[in-house]
Amino acid sequence: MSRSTLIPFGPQHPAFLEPLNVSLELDEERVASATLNIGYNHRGMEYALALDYKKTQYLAERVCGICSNHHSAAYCQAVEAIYGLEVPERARIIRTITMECQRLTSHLLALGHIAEAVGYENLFMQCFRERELVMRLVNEISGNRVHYSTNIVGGVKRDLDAAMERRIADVMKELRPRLEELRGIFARDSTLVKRTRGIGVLTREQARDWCTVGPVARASGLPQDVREDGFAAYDVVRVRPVVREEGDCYARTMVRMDECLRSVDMIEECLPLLREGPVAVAVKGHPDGEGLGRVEAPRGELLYYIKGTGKLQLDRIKIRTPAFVNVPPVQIMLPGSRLADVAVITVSVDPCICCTDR
Amino acid sequence: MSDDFDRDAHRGIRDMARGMKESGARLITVIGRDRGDDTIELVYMFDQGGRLVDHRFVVEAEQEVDSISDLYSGATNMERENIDLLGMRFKGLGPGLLLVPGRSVEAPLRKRPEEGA
Repeated sequence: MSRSTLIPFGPQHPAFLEPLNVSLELDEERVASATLNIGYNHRGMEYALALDYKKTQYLAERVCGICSNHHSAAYCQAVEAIYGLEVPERARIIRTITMECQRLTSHLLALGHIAEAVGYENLFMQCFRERELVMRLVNEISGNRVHYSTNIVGGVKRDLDAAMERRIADVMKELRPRLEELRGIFARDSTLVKRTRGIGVLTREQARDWCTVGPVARASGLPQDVREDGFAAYDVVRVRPVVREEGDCYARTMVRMDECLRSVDMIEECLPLLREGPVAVAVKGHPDGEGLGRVEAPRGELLYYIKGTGKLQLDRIKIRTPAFVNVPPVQIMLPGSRLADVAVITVSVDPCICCTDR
Repeated sequence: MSDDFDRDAHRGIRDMARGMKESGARLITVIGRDRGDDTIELVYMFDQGGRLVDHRFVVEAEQEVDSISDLYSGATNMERENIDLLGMRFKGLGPGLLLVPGRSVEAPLRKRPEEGA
């Protein structure tokens, strides 16, 4: 007769980069039920962000280190909506380039993380080697590797000169074949395929019910991508969402892998669109009114709601991060799986606890 | 309490959510905002075919509001967050919070009397 065992998986676990706990009820090696516990990293960011409008921009970028540029872009869009600002075209294209660079770094981190969870250590290193190309490029563009600090309300604060435009093109040219090689490994390596295909399935209906976004939703057949709404310069580049139907760890991995190649496409499309012109418009005063900013961060839709009353202190700032809705469905993906697959399934949603908890 | 406050308005939350679910809309978030007069504005934000749609309800701060977590499982943590940060109460929401009660600041996003509206 089998006997159930309760196992705490996390909050400190070698497979997780940040604190996250899954309480597992096991029947022998199989997961009978799972309960997710988050909140270990809650920093009260929504409270802190509203305290002083002059510091909000700086702090918004620091909600997360992996999608920092998307946080500042969504924040800027929300404030720009309050002011009714028209951001110069050149600034919108630069924002698009940096956002796609950050998608590359984020997805390559997630791909490396899944390789590590599977036990494929040298593939993890290969992902991080290719990621380093983009990290160094971003450092050249912005002067920073993590918190780019290029977005400001009204545009961007650093322009790209002709030499930098050529440099971006060269890095993308170098990166593409490396990504194609990586894709071949993720798509066909027998160990990876066995550890991810048919594992941790999230059906289309479950994905919709749990309000999932980004690669998690698209891997379950939901063709939603905020970039199709045309924020920044996404109205002038081709946005072709990568959608798969399987809903398993393999699909989530391959969606991210293919999105890396689409990001290279978009960056290359952006470069010839750069025309001489201003990169920012001036803004004065404190925001008075309501504004929404919505971007497609690497993990999916990121939304900023801001209400200001013309004072230094904002009335309310609300951040709906993609991880906040993508992490909870892990508890319905786990039942029926083997204990050995728990780390792979959890990592496959690309759990960012900085964003989830804020 | 301001003049535009309707004590029974919140009764329409579940009907609204059911209608949105049937239309195929995706729940984006539930935003709670303290209006500074012992009422809280709840903004239910949806994506309906790529279009943003919001439904707003003003409720008393201490009032129990119907949960929509049985209609949208993803609403569970959104409502829990409103409990944690604004001290709200949701009827029909399962147990569990994001923060540990008693060991975290209570309702940090509620306005203190001196802050006002």
